[in-house]
Amino acid sequence: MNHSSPAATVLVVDDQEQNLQVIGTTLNIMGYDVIPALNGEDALKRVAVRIPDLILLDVLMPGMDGVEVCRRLQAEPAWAKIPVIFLSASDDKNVVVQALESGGVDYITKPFNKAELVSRVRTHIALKQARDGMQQLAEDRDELLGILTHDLKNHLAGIEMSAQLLRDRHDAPTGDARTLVDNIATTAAESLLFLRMFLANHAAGRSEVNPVPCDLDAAARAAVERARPLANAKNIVLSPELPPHPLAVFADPAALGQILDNLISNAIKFSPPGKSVGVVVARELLGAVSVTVSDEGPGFSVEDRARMFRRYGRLSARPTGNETSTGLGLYIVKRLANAMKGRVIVAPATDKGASIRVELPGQK
Amino acid sequence: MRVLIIDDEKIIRDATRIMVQDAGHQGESVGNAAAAMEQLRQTPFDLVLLDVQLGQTNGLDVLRDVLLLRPGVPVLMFTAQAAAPLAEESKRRGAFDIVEKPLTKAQLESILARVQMSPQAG
Repeated sequence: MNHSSPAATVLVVDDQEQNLQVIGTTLNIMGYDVIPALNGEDALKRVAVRIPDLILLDVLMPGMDGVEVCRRLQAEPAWAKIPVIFLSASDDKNVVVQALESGGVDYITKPFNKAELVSRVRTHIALKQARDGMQQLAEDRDELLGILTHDLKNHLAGIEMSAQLLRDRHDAPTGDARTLVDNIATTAAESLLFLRMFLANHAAGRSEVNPVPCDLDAAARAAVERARPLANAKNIVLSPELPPHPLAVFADPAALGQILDNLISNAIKFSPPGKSVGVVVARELLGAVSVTVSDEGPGFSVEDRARMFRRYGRLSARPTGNETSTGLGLYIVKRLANAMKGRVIVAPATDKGASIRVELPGQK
Repeated sequence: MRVLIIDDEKIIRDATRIMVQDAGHQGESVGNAAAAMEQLRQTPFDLVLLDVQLGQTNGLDVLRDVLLLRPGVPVLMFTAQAAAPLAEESKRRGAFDIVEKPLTKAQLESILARVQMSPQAG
């Protein structure tokens, strides 16, 4: 054991007091803190007071048996990660399988060998501590990323604002000075876009979606309006085809907005000026609803299809108006759609541009 | 209109103040909550632009203090990270609106117009 960390706690559940004593003494000698419980109900009460690092759980007990205790532990998110090692006099394989299927990590038959018991306890506690450590690391990383990106975004936003203000003033710089100001504004804007995409990808990766009933047509209409300035700047016509009545979708509003924004901005980005981008909302089979975004750009090549949903997977086509492409847009669309039990379908290759349909569950 | 800008980042503070002035209004800026309250005690403002994350101070707390001192003043929150729950919470607590930085000229102009139309103004 690592003596610098506090002693690990083991909850031992057995209806035989003698067993509790033998196991308790054995584990105490090895430096573990032992909490005894004589039945299932008592065990759950103990866990509610203090979460142990491991549970040794007798299968056959009067009242609530070990399998039921394990099921209840699994049902509680705060308890589901406690490793449970079953103890039983029964060698019946059906009992073993049933116990392990209820969420146990291991199984020891009684009468047990002390060295084996200690060795298994040690292994599973070490595994649990390693898992906890990984989770802590992931949380620390997320927090650090959050702080970094937040601060960076703030600074970049300030730089972009300042450069644009300078460019728009009556005494705005000209010639080379103007080029320099333009470069500062553009680079800041591109870096901001990248950060935004990066954050969206991060959120998608952690599947932070909470689907609720909402209107797909309203969401699509709002996304089209958001994209209008971008489309107007390239003289692209946005032609939404929305149903006359609200079409319910079961989706996370923010994730849905992100999916629509990514698809529409991609379509605008890869469309030659003067063309049109279609946004069609429709009802699908089996209660699903869909939104299809299509453009009249170069479409996807065979190679594109292989890597289009990969992270940072930029495709063969280049933006037609000097826009930035992070290679994250479609990847995020797919992750978010999947997290909401939806799917992304790419229309077969044609010479008429790209068309991507996202299907999501209709209202439950 | 008199506009008070509260942001702990100098670059944002200066740029926003200049943007407000370029739009033909009077802009004043401060970098922390204490200075903001001092300004508000001395002068009435028609609009307050408030950073959601003011260094170690939570902008939502500052929003509460601003509205206690000057009930009815429109407060526009701005944030480096737009998140739907935060937007709802700000509005629930009486914010006029919430926008993601960087604030653009078009956004500022539309907000100023809305404030002028709003019965809260003045």
